[in-house]
Amino acid sequence: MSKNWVFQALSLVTVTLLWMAASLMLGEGTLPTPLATARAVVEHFRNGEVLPALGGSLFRTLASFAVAMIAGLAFGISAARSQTFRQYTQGAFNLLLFAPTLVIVFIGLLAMGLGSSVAVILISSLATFPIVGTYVRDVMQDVDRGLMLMAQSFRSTTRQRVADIYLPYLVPPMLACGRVALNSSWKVVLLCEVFGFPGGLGYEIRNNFASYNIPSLLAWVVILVAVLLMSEQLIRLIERSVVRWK
Amino acid sequence: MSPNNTTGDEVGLQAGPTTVPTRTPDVELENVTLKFGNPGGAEESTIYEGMNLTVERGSFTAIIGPSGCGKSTLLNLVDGLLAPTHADGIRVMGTDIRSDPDQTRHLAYVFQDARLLPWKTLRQNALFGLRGLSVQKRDRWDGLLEKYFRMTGLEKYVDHYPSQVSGGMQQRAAIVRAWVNEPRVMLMDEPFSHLDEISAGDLRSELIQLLNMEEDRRTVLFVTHDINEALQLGTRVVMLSQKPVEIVHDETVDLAYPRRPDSTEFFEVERRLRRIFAEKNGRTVGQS
Repeated sequence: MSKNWVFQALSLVTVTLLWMAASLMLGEGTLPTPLATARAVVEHFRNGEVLPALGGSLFRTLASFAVAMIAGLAFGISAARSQTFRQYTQGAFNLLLFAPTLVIVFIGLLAMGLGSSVAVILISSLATFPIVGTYVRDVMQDVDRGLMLMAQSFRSTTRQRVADIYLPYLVPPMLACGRVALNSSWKVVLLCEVFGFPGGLGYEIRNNFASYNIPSLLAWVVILVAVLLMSEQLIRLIERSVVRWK
Repeated sequence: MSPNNTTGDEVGLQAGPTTVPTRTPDVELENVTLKFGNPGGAEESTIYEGMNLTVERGSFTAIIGPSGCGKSTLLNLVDGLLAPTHADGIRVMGTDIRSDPDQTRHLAYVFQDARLLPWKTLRQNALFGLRGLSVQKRDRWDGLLEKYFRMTGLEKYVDHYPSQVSGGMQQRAAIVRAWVNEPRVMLMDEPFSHLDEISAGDLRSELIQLLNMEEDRRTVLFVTHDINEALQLGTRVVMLSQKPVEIVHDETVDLAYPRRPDSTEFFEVERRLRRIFAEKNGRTVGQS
């Protein structure tokens, strides 16, 4: 077992111990113990509630993530290459970038209606794509001019430059950006589900909060955190294999 | 001042291995003017004004001059990376590169820093050069890569990434990337200036060996700020002035290879060139 894993395991143990201590101090009615929460997690799995809720949220998250990445890439590349496009879109782009996510969610749900998966995906994409767009725009403008001059000197074609310079140059920052975008997609999808969607993890969290079923509520949060941690590990694995040259 | 205003006779040395020009010059700059900034504006800067330079086939021309005078710019003009404000001709092997940009495929550039793609192995970097210039047939690529990586002592490192090898090896790989194309003219912009003196010395020797290995000796246009380096390598030394750039001295170097900087002959030429440089530019340059 590597040192890294030992520290990560120790960190989890510490959080669990602190949780247990807080639970003992506040009382199980307010904050259930980790054990009670674990029991609730098992119960959700037994009742077959986890896969539909998790599957629905995961689908909406991945779909909105994909839309945000594609739209962000297209916007970022266009903004880096054309000053006119950059200036023309700057205002609207900044509005989206700096608008509170909650406002985007509320307006989006009101405009597109409650209960539609497409609406949730669009709202989440709309809130996430400015993050991707900013990343791509800045990275594209930062491509090593020395390498570009070298490529020009060797008469490389546009295809060669895209495949051999731009894309490899973009991959590491895009992976970092992908991580941020995925987290953002999760959060916005959950918010949409909490406020106006009859399904998914957000819906389960809202229901359990409304019925003051704290162990069950915490169980859903634990499931969500476990999924986020797994996706984080997956991204790290991809990152390691793609940027071996570093 | 016109180019070629002095000759090796003035140096008073025995004839060395200098190639006698017999064919069309490989590179010709005729009446080249280059200005940056708004024409006529306060910020307009004249780099070259009516510059002429002829580089004969098989020669090793070392260009020296004060820092920032436009030495690298000269290579960029020859390689078509920069368009002149005016020129009667920028010719490579007799053809103007502006009417036939493909003519620059006969040139290969080695930059001051290696400029290797960090995500590609040394072999893949050399392949990038081959694919780009596309002057060698595909069925020759493997053979050429093997030949030049072996000649530069990099055959064991071809699958290493640039970050896994030393700065000297990176620069060797950059030389391979250019050389595998077997270009008629090598453009080299202070390629050893980022290296420690021992690595730079080794690479200078290897460069001369590489040049001597081939029957039809390549033409080299080599920019340096170091008079000592120019004399170790060049069959000709062209000295530039401050902007607007003029050729203030042009000399054939008839010293036999390998050149020893501690020999009396070398020392005399070097001292004289330093004196000329100081007279023309009002300061010393390239102490190594």
